[in-house]
Order: sequence, then C-alpha cells, then structure tokens
Amino acid sequence: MINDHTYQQEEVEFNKVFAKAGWAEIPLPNELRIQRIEEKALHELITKETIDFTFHSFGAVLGNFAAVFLSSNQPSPQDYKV
Amino acid sequence: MEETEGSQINEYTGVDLTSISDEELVKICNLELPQSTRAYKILIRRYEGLIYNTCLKLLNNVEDAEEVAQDTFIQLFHKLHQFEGRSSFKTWLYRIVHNYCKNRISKQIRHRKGKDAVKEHADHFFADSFDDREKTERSELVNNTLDQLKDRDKEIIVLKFMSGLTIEEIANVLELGLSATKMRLYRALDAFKIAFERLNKEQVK
Repeated sequence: MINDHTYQQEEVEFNKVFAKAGWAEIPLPNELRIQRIEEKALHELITKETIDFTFHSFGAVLGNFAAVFLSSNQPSPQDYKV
Repeated sequence: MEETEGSQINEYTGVDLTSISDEELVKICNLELPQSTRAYKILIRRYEGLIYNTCLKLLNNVEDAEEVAQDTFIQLFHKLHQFEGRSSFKTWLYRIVHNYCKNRISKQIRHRKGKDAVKEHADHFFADSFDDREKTERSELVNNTLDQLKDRDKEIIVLKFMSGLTIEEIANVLELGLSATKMRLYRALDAFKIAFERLNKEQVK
C-alpha cells in the first residue's frame, strides 16, 4: 500500500512507466482544432450579442407602443365640454 | 510594431507574448478580446495538445475528446474575465476540463459509447508518429490498465502524470482537501499497479 513515506519512490517508478508509454512527451497543438475553436467562440459571441440587441430593441419598441396606447386612452377634459 | 519569426510582439507594450506567464497573458486577453484573438490563441496553443490528450484518456473516444476540449476553450473565451487569480490559471483551466469531462462521462454511460474508436486512433497515432513498436505496446498496456480502473481513479492518475499537476493543484481542481486528494491518489496508484502487473503477465504469455 502506497503511503506518504513510500510515495516519493513510487512516483519515480510510475513516471518511468508513463514515460515509456509516451506520456512525458509534450503534445503539439493542433492548428486546425485551434482555428475551429476561435471561429466557434466568435460565432457564439456574435449570436449572443445579436439576440441581446434584438430583445432589447423589441422590448423598447413594445414599451413605446404601450406608452402611446395608454396615453391615447386617457379622457381629456375637452371630451366633457358641452 | 515588429513581428519576429516564431514570436508575437505586443503592439502596446513591446512584450513577446509567447514568453510571458499564463496570468499575464490572461490580463492581455481581457484587454484585447473580442477585437483581437491573438493573445487568446497563444494561450490556447500552450494547452491545446495536453488538454486534448487528457480528455482522450478520460473519455476513451476521439469525437468526445475533441468536443470537450473545444467546449473548454470556448468557455475560456467567454469566462476569462472571471479569472481572479486566486488559483493558478492552469488549475482554473483544469477545473473546467474536469467538469466537462464529468458531464460527458455521464452522457457516455447513458449512451454506452465504445472504446474501440480511441484504441484504433491511439494505435494509428503512435505507430505513424513514433514508429516505435515498444512504445505502442507500452501505451496500449497503460491504456488497458486505465480502462480497468474506476473513472475517478483514472482521472487523478491522468491529472498527476499526464497533465503534470501537483497534488495541491489537483486538490484545487477536484475541490477536495489535501489529505483526501493524497488518499485518492495513493489508492488509485495501488489499483493501477495491481491491474498493470496482471495485464503485463497476460501480455507476456
């Protein structure tokens, strides 16, 4: 059983095992995958900002319509003049 | 502004971005994104290969590994401004990887994805890239041994010996105490040893 006392020595042995399996080699970045990541990230950002802008604008338009509708229904004193 | 071969000179400070620390690069990303992705791409390049290999080891599926690695870096793009520097950038990044891998493993269990695809891929990759039969065989033995372990044991071994995290960093990623992390690692290595020796004997026969 590995414990605090034996771990350091065991770690050296495990590092050798994994090194033989190629784990110690630093993998090169894949430029095609990086390109796809960048494109997708920017696409998501544009989509999000477009949706935010659309809802914000839609909300503002709805608000203005509501204000116009409510103010046009208010009875004015002129209506009751005889 | 000058661009020397193999390096990028930051037009604002004249600093070579490829030589600065992760934390400093994050600061520059926060200044430049989304108008410029130059610093962001340098940050990705530092970790892309390692993160992809980590995901491949944990998920045993090439498609899943590519998707999870991609999702990790896209999450980074959107949430980089939230990095406060309380832990190292590497730890923060691996926490994202850990969470995405955990979700994907749950999905895999529901859909019962096979391991054959990554076995074929791994064999092909190592045979063509290294042309080293011994390394291919050893890699296969290690992969088969990892497959015998519980997911959490496999994960801690990959984080320690492939991703190169310290025990303290692993504790941070997994959100465990230091003692609990050590115990998990020691038990995982014990299990690995037993499975490795058994499979090695079977292979020799």
